[in-house]
Amino acid sequence: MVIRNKKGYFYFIEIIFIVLLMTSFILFFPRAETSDLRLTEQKNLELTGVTTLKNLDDSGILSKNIDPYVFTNSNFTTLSTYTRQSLPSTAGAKLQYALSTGCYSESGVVENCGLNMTGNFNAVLSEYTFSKRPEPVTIKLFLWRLL
Amino acid sequence: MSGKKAQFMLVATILITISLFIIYTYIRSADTSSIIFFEPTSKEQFVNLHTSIADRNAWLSNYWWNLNWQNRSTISISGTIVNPVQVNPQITAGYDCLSQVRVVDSANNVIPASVTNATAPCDVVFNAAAGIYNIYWNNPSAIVPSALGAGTPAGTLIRKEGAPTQLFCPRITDMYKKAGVDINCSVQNIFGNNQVNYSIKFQSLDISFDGFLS
Repeated sequence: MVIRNKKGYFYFIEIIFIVLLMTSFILFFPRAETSDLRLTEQKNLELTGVTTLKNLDDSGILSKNIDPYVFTNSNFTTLSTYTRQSLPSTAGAKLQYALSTGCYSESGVVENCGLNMTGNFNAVLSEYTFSKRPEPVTIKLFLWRLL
Repeated sequence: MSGKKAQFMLVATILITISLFIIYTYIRSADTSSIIFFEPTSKEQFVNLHTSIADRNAWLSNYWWNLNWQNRSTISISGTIVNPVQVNPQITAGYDCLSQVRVVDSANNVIPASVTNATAPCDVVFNAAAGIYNIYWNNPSAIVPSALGAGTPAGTLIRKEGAPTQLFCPRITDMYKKAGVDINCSVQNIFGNNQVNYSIKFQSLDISFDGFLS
């Protein structure tokens, strides 16, 4: 009789442990899935950026608007407009151009290379080399989800 | 009664083991795929590198007549033209004018020309129409000499520039090193007058390439 009671007590404890274990695993499911989806989205965003810049190059927009000799004489407004219009409305974007003389902002002003991460912790970077000028330009497109 | 309990416990244990195994493998696979997305992949970067080299060679075929000539001066000729015209391409002093100067029109056709001095400074003399002409100079292996001559001063120098051969690798190297790629880039050789074959060593976490791209 005493032995049976002890067994029952251990079964009870085991069941509680199993329930707790199962609950913790089940609660972990959505976290793994959400994390996975978010990273997939970022990867897609990066590919979107590269494809966008490649399309702008293939369609001759970069050649027409980037000055082959004096980079600061380029038509930055047109470049910015075409790039932003090519991106989904759910994506925030920032353009930057890198040359041997330094980095230039979307409006052609010298600035620090890279992105000020304030508020854009999920930003991804798409880079494209525009090589149809004597000195190639690296076009950096920082992208992040707005929603 | 105790037999039924044991049977129930056995079945329950098996079911719980199977469930835990499924849960474990599911979480491991989700976790692994997350880690894969965290790892930087270099596929796009390598494709970009290859594309930019191919695009550049296509562009160079129109941009530079012959990469064996290391410098050029672009001259605009307009107004009343009295041939032969004599233009000053501002060739750097000391360069060989007699053997190494070539005049090329906007369609990359070589125009017969003569020079006013054997060594720079020298002017270049040729028959011109209104338009843009490129005067190439600085090719130590050029041996066909021009004649000495004189003409009517004409033309405006638009720009002087060096061959763009060496400008590609520094930009590419800077770009990819910042992205964590171990890269070496150098000009291997020039072929077809204005095409460049690059020696590339590209080493990242997922791509290893050591060879030539053009």
